[in-house]
Amino acid sequence: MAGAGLAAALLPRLSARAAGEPYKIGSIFSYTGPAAFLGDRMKRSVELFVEETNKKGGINGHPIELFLYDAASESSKAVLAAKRLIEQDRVDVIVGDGNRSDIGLALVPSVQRAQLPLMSVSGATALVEPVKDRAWVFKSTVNDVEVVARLLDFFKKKGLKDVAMLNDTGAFGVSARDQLRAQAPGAGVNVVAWEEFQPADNDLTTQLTRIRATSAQAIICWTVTPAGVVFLKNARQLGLKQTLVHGFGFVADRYMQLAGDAAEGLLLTSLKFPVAEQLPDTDPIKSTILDYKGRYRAKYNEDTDVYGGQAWDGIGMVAHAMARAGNEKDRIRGGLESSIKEFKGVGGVFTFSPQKHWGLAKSDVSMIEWRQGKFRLVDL
Amino acid sequence: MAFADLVQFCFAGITMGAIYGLVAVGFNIVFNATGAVNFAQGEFAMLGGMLGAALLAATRLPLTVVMVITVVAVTAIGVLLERLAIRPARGADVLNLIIITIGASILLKGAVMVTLGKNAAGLPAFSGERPIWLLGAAILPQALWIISVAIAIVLALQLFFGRTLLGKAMQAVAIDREAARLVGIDVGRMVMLSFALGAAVGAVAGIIITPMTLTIYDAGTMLGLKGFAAAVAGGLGNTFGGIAGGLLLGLLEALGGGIIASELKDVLAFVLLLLMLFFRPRGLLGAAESERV
Amino acid sequence: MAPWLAPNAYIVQVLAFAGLNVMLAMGLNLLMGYAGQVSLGHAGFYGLGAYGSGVLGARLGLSPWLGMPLAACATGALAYVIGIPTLKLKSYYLAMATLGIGVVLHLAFVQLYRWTGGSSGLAGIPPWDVGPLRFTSDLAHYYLIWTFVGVALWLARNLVNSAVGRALRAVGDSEVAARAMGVDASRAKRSVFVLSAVYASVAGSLYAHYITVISPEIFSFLASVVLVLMVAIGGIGRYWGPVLGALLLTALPEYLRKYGDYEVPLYGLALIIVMLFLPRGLAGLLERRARATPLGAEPIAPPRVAMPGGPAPLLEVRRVSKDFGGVRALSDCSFDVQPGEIKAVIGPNGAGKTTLFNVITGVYAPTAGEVAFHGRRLTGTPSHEIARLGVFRTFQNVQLFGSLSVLENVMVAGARRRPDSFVGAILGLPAQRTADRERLGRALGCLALVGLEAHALAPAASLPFGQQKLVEVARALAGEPPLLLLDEPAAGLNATEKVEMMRLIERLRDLGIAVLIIEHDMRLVMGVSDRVVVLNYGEKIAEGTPVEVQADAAVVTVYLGEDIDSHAGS
Repeated sequence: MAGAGLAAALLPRLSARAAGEPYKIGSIFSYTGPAAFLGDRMKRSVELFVEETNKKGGINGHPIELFLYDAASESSKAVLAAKRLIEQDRVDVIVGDGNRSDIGLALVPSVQRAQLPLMSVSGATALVEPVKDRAWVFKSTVNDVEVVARLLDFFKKKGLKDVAMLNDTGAFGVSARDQLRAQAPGAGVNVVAWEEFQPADNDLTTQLTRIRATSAQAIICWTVTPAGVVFLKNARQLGLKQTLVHGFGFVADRYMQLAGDAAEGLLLTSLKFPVAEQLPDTDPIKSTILDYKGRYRAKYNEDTDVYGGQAWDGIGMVAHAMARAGNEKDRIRGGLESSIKEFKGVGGVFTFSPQKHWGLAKSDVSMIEWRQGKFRLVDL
Repeated sequence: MAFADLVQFCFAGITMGAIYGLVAVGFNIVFNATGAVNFAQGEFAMLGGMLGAALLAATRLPLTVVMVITVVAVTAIGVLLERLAIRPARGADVLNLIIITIGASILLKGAVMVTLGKNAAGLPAFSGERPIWLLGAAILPQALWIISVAIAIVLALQLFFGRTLLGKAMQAVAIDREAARLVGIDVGRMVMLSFALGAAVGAVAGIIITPMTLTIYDAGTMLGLKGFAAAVAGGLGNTFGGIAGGLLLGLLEALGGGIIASELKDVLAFVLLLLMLFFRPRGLLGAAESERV
Repeated sequence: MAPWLAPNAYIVQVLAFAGLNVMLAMGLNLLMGYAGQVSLGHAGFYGLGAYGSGVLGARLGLSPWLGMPLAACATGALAYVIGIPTLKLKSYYLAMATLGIGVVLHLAFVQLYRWTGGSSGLAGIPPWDVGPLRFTSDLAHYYLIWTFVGVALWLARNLVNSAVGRALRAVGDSEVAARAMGVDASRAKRSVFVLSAVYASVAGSLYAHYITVISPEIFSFLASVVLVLMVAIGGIGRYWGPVLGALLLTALPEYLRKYGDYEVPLYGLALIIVMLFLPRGLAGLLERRARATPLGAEPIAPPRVAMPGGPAPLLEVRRVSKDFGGVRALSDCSFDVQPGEIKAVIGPNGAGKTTLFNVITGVYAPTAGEVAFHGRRLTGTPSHEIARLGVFRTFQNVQLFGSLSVLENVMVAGARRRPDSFVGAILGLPAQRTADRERLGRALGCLALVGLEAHALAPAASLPFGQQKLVEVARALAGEPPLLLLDEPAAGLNATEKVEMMRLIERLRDLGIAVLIIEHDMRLVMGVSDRVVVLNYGEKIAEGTPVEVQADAAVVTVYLGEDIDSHAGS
């Protein structure tokens, strides 16, 4: 009885103008629940891409048919959504993994078993490593291994030896914590405090007071939630003079505006996306970023962010591979491995190979700061 | 551990405790009138913050005007909730009322998400953000606002329940619904009033904490959970108990997190709350257990 | 559930997930709906099962077939231990404590990341297998899960149809009354708490080895709330309720997917609407009138009480005092009850009469003094033990078990001599069923004695007040007690009913039952009692035959010089 109702629940299909048989792309983002503030722009970016592609005649004349589901920030819902895409909608590929690392991980067994390519948009390295067990999973963003490595390089360059780590207990935060724990000794950086907070916390003075008592010269905060704003406000309240650093999950103008003066001078590890305007014209991805930002603004009358860009790159690369390899699942996978070479995305220049399913490298990560109402490039 | 650090932890605990306490007071008002815990209480605080922020951004009215409009609007939502969802269930089991309030909480959360968006919002601090230094610890003026408003609300409620006829009528309903009905008190109106008061207190709480903590459409869940814990810890139905429970919870979190380990903050707080319940099964200020047989 | 109707593996998976939810909600309903104990932390036990066998499998390579029972045992043991202090709490305080347990367990899954993988999730959990055969298809998992669901439903069915299940409902309706009828309420609550935790744990293991990746957020506070919603929406305390609730609340979000963001407010709205229009849940739709099926048992008349040998009095109250705060409700009170004797306790309101009953039946511990039954010290003995020794009572403010029929109310007390075991009940052991059929006959006999056999199948709460009082007497009688305590049996009765009550007490005397009565109606007191004890402000001021007491100067003063007879019926 439940079956009949469910089977009847079909998504409104996007109208197809192109002549060929449609290419079916599934998408899973969390656009409700706690991860919604990331998933919303990802979802819209994918919808924008599909609309524009279909207007231009689709992929080699094949319109894209998009099946879009909400993971609601819950992995069991995402697993059901994936099953529906695989078994009922029979999509050729999935773009988007619920935009949270743990949700993405929960989808891996499903797509591996179904032998269906999945383009993840989440940070955790375990999504694509080891490649032999993740043959069908690709990723359109940077691994936190490289982000942390990049940050440690910067500390070394600036002579910051003692740092404190303050991460949320969500998948994004703890994954970075583990990377820092693994890499800091090799980089000669001494982590003098490991503090944590719940993603929904709204007071961090306790943790910062503990950090104040250490020799930390810089404090790294790793979160995607508004608690990161509280971090900045509390640090200012306590009069902390340390260098404050945020991870690549916090690069959003609205967070900076919420923090107000407290965000002034904040350092962030980021892709080049937020500082595209300041990049030299010779930069390979400057025009790609500006182009995407402009289209998004034109369509939705609001600014996108670097996370929307991850989804844009994800579907862009999938479309690129499908244009060359068609819509059979193993050919899409092969196409991603062989045809994504020096692909200019908004996150960076992607190169996939059979051994490497994430496209970006440490060089795609830069250090930026927030000063006078704008992100500014500090160290390319 | 430096003394100043300890003071800082206490400030953090008291501030968060006052926030939890304010939510708990809202729980208690509705509990007294209906015997049910209103699981949408956290959403009233979220609504206060979100509506206030949206109104300020859209109209640029002075903050005080925005606050007044917001409190009135949230109070109206509380009354509507009572009228449309609680009153029609008259005579229902307490469990049914609770499920209805859970449904209302999801509905309110969803409505805010759809209309006001999924991003976090803030409000400007009432008296600036320059911290005040006290015994080597920094406290924000907004935290003083939160603490004083919490005290003011509790005192005002105490006066209202103790000195005014309307308040006494509400107390009477809390003590014995049937007896109150027999002496001519309109119990239905008192229930509605309790939702109005609960919503108003929630909205005020939401507005005064948002400059410090920010708010987001799903912030009500956490506030509701902690507020409920505070209300029970203090002794359900007791206004002072709500604040006491809030302070207890806030201080446990801050001191446990500060002295032992920040990642164990919530675990410690809840384990200690559990132990307290095992030894004081009716909460801090709850009436001693006595079974009428 | 018929998977062959399902058009594809997606629907099969939805149904498999629904099965897990059925199992979770079924366990929670036994705890909440039957035993009346709220839990807001049940997802924690779900998580224990998932992480228990998941971690054993992923880190130590243990087979799920070993991991699942190990996790279930560990979860059950933990539930047993934390159940001891937790289940002493009532209503919202219990809700708060279980919520706290759920929060702590959830945070443990996050923080013990060396084992659990923390928030990033635990991957690499081995899938279900049979020998070299691995479960890969959703259909295989569907069958596996629903097999377990079938077993869970069968066990739950046995339980709710057994004497233990009846006792659970009694505890849920009125714990004090259940204890007074010889039900070990603490043990019953703990047993069902453990059972529901084990259900949750097994569901967790099934999930973990099906999906092979788990993360803490699946087992958060919100998940616990959803489980409570399933029970309530389905119909709390109704056997099929959690099945319907779990199916609906698994399918509803999938159905609402097409509404995008609007899914969230629509879901909330749906909950409100169901609760407003179906206050008894979906199962309320299926409910039929009480069945008029033949009872399958002949009434067995209550036996005469065997007179114990020896000169010792049946009940001895020795210098008992009881303080409440600063108030002394009972002060140095002493008297005896002989076998077969009918003794009345009278005195103005607030004289400490009901307190006396509560001390005798172990509801209160005396501040000083002691009570002995058959020469055995009762003080410190739990309420249900006292009942099982043979002291039964009725209540001043009638405390029938509202969710049970008249007959079932009476049968609760019938389990006094040989209470059924919990394990025997869930397995549906034939011996226990036979014993229960005999109890049915005895209960009918007791109902016949009070003249209510015609109302045996009516819901207890539906009877008029006077008949409810008779049911209470029949219920206490079913325990076949040598001593019966009646707390104001005539209060609220009309004149005819009072006469009936007097006749009933006479019949109790004929059965050799000693009766201790609290009563204000002097005609009844003077008419049936062998001896009368008079209390005033907690002190015994007189004891003697009705004639002696009526002549006692102190007694007359207490009753303000009125003729005691005119006090009748006040």
